[in-house]
Amino acid sequence: MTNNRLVTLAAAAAFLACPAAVRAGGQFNAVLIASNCAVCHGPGGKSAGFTPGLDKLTKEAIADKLRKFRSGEKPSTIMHRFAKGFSDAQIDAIAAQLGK
Amino acid sequence: MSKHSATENSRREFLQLVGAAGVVSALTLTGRVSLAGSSGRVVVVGGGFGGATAARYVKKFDPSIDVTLIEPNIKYVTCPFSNAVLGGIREITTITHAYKGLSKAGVKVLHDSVSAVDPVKKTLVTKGGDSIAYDRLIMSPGIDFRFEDVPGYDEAATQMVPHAWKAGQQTVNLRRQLMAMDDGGLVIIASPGNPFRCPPGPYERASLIANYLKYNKPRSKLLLLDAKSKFSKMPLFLEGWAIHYKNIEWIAGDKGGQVIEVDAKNRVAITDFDKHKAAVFNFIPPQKAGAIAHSAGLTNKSGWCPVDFSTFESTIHKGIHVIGDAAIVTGMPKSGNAANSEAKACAAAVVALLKGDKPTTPMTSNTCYSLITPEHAISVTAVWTASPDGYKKNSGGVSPMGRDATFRRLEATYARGWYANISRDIWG
Ligand SMILES: Cc1cc2nc3c(=O)[nH]c(=O)nc-3n(C[C@H](O)[C@H](O)[C@H](O)COP(=O)(O)OP(=O)(O)OC[C@H]3O[C@@H](n4cnc5c(N)ncnc54)[C@H](O)[C@@H]3O)c2cc1C
Repeated sequence: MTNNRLVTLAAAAAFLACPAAVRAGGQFNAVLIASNCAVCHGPGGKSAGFTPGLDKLTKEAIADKLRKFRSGEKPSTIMHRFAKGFSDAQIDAIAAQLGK
Repeated sequence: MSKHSATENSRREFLQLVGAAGVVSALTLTGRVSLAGSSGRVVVVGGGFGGATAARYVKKFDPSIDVTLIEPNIKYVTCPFSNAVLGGIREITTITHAYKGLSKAGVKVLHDSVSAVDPVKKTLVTKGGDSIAYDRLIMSPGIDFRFEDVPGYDEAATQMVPHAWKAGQQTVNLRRQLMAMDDGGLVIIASPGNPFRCPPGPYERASLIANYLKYNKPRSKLLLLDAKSKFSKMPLFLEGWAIHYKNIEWIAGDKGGQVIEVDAKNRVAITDFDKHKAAVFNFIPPQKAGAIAHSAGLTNKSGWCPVDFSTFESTIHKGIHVIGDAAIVTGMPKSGNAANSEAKACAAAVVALLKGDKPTTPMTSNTCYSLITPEHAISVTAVWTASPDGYKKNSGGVSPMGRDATFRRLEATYARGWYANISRDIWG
């Protein structure tokens, strides 16, 4: 847990420190990964319907959901299949992009 | 300070003017042009899933880049959900998109078609006679058909025997034929070998046409002739067909399912062993990269375009990136969602390269939903990371077998959500 928090803080700090439109975020590009969420959840996380939007969720809530999808604690149709593809650092970086 | 000639200055002013209007027309540019205040010029060929996404995301990632999208059609009809149009559960207007949203996002949309590319001079020529310069070119021309591989099937034959594998007039044609058919008529779908656009597409199409027949032409049957003996999401499709349809017969490639010749006038599918006469015949031909990819010299002997996996830059011509169905993206399927994800990765790489930065290793993802009925959907998903030999899967998989109707209905709802949202992400 403490480790996860540290990563979260480090990731968040990296984002604040880097104003470029496309941030490298270490070896991965968080803006790029997060842009893929738009296809189901809508541009900017604003869904046109049928699929839950993300725009009202905090960063913490998004990261928490992704971790619970990944562990299987939270049941889903497809989200567990996605969440398993991301490391803790990537989950936090995605959440930092999408969350309030 | 300025060493520009008067003509050069007025040309620059002219460019700025047309740029401001958001429309490009009758431009004749030779050589490389850098517009004042912009950090390069990106031209995108093709306004489908890959190209329209790439144009939008280059602009989004770096608004100072001058982005022009070239697409012949005023409106784009999506293949996704065109099977629902064939099955009579959606109108074609609901899968038709204009380009206003892209213009609003700052992309210059030119309705023309590219007829030649010069990778050395970094210019291209359009059918309308314009010559346009680029710093980086992104091509997403989609597919064309290997008519040369199937005796009896050519452009003219597509009216009697539609492929409907590019949506629009072909979709309407096939829908009309299905509606006009007498109850009891045989519908044949012929599915090609790999690789082809949308691996689960023929099986979703069989499902939704079978659904239409079940309620409207209960004495009719659907015969699915296949070049393959295994297909995408096969156990899930077979499970769904066992629940919903008694009217589908599938003949696998290893049981003689491959159609090797077409008699279009009589709507006859010819295999090694048999001749099958249809009332409505949907032939999905073998495929290759879109014609312009061939004439631009971007294809290898497979008929598709080899690219570097982290930038999508052609391994044949520097400065030209190829994405979507036309590209060889080892590990990823030829889908609209994959084209969208590749386009975003390519856009990030192009922005980095124009700045002189090193592109990051991209991650991509894909979800392909297939409707078995309007309320029963299944999916395949994946997350990938680029490597020197292709996209390596981090995670993914297909829907679980044996789930109840509630679960399948939820996936059908999310399929609609996917369509509504990816359409806005691209053309909205
Ligand atoms: C029946 C069916 C169902 C499908 N369902 C799904 C689905 O549910 N989910 C999914 O993810 N995918 C689906 N697909 C696949 C999807 O349609 C394709 O993978 C996707 O369209 C590929 O995008 P693209 O940009 O490569 O090509 P396209 O979307 O075909 O775009 C190519 C564009 O380039 C333009 N063009 C071609 N040549 C030129 C030129 N010389 N100059 C200028 N412009 C040019 C064309 O006019 C066209 O607009 C389906 C496909 C089919 C056939």
